[in-house]
Amino acid sequence: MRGYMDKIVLEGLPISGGIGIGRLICIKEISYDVNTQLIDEAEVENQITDLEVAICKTFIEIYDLKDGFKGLLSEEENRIFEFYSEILDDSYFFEEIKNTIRNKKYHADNAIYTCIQKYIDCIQDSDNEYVKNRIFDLNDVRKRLIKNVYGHSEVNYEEINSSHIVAVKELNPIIAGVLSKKEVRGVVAQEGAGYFTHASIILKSVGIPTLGNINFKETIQHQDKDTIIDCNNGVMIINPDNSQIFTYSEKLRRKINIKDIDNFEPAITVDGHKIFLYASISSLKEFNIAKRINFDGIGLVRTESIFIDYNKVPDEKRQFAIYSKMARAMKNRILVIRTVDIGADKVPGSLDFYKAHSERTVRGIRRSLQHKKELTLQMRTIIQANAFGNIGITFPMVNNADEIREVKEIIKGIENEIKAENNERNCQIEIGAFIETISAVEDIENIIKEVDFINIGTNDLLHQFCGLNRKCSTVLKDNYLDPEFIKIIKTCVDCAKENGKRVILCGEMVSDPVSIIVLIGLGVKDLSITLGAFCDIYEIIRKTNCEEAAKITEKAVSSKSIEEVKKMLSDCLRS
Amino acid sequence: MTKKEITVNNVSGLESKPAALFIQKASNFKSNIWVEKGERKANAKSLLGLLSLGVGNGNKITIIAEGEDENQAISELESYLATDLGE
Repeated sequence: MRGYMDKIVLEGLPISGGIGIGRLICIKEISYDVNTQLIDEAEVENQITDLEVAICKTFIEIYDLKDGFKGLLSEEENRIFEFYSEILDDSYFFEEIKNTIRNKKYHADNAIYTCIQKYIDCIQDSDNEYVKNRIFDLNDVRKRLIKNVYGHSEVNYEEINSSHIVAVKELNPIIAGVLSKKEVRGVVAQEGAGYFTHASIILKSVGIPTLGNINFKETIQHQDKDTIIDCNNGVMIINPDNSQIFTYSEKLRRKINIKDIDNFEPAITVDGHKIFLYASISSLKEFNIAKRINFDGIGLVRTESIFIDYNKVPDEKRQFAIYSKMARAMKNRILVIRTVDIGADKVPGSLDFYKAHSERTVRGIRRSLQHKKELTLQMRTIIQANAFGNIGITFPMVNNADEIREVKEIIKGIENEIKAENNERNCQIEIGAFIETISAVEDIENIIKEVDFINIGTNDLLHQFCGLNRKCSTVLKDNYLDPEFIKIIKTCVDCAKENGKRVILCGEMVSDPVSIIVLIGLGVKDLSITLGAFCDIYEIIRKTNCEEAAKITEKAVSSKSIEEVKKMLSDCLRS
Repeated sequence: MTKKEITVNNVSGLESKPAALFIQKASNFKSNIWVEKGERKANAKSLLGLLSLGVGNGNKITIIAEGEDENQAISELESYLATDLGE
């Protein structure tokens, strides 16, 4: 008999949905005690050399990691490595550390610790939530630097394998990346796993169940114990009893395993409404997975992410090969391709962005229209590829109907050209628009008349909404449930319905099981989700009653607060 | 020395991406450049310095430049900040 095997139940914050059953393993914290003794003048140069070596080593570490994640992470997620490199590249900052060694006679590790702490304190004091999210990353850079001053080796990830539930104190994108490669059964973290941080995005995109707010000290005592995490209900069970193991195993078995399904019943609600489930993809690797799962189509191809794998924007031939291959593979299923969103950080190396130095920086379609040559080439290849399947072309960050009119003029020209070259081929393509700015919402009545369908990009739309609304922080997923935000979505959906146009919902909101009820309640029939969310969303749809959802949503729209909406929805999920 | 007070108008303020672009622009100038917010002042060519100011939407900051190209620096950095910071 195994003694002291008392069941322990911990409550946590669901970060990435799903259920995980496995053995618990803890990633030990890199412990460092900085040496607070002062050094002799003679030691100063040695300490500065140690610092410089540590910077170089850390740089190499980051580059190696970035390389290892190629193809695994989307371009947005990869941005985290750039941030690390930018910090390591900050010569003023390192001069400051060196001066601390020289003037205060600190050991290199203590100098690193103190200098970074000063910045962290300042950021902590500021009221910019976005910058505050970077404190975790700064802490991680600090740990890496100090560890490299000591010359210690990396935390031992080798013992972790796909049978484990992994507990970690501070979850960061790098740990998340390593764990997603190892395909662990689940992750629990004490800190760092906020909804919008990069780490949680990574784990969600590969469908690894994750809980936040789990006390690390508590979990570390239960290394190697059987553990269940239920990230749909925010519970971690250590030493579960046999009946629990059985129940959860059954639940897991019933779940469709995203890796090996070819067929599933259509996503139909309890009262018989078909919901179309599409995949949003950022790479060819994701496309290949999506193709295998019986998605109803691809709701969004982010072409800028596909381009980023190439050193330069692929030429006409190459682009055509990519799009036509996808179109062929999807056959009659819709494939929505978004033209490249050139702007700010999303620039593939070959487009000379910095040339536009003092020029007002614009994003999305407005910027594309300033680069007509590239835009026309991309549209032409997409339209040609349409002959092999069922493509819709859509444009990022649309602001108003005029932009769509301008794009349509170009499309007409291209279609006429193609027609002249090949008489018989019908090359008319469906045209869409990404509604992800407040100005687009304001002009929705006019935009809808110009297009065949719209996508609603909930990420950027929420971002803008929160920007206008000071109470709101994009850090919390609950903000999707802000009655005012739901109203914005409703405006667009209603307008599309009145005009008989299709609305494809995209973004994080659509991969969130709670928000799905609201979207279905609004009468949305087309959802485009990340691959990892497929099972959860599919199950929720099969359990939802459209009519009930509509009633709840109606109440939600007239609610006073997010809390009210949340309560209503969680009551509904429970029943 | 040239100074200019500017109000930052962008949802995320000088968060890591806009801040990184800002220091890239600032680094193109020979002048010494600082950003001042309230009592705190940071080197405009240091990412950490800039982040530590925690410049948010609607915040007033002062750009200070000193050197041969100080006027051009101020006007280019101002136009970057006054527009929508790549958003």
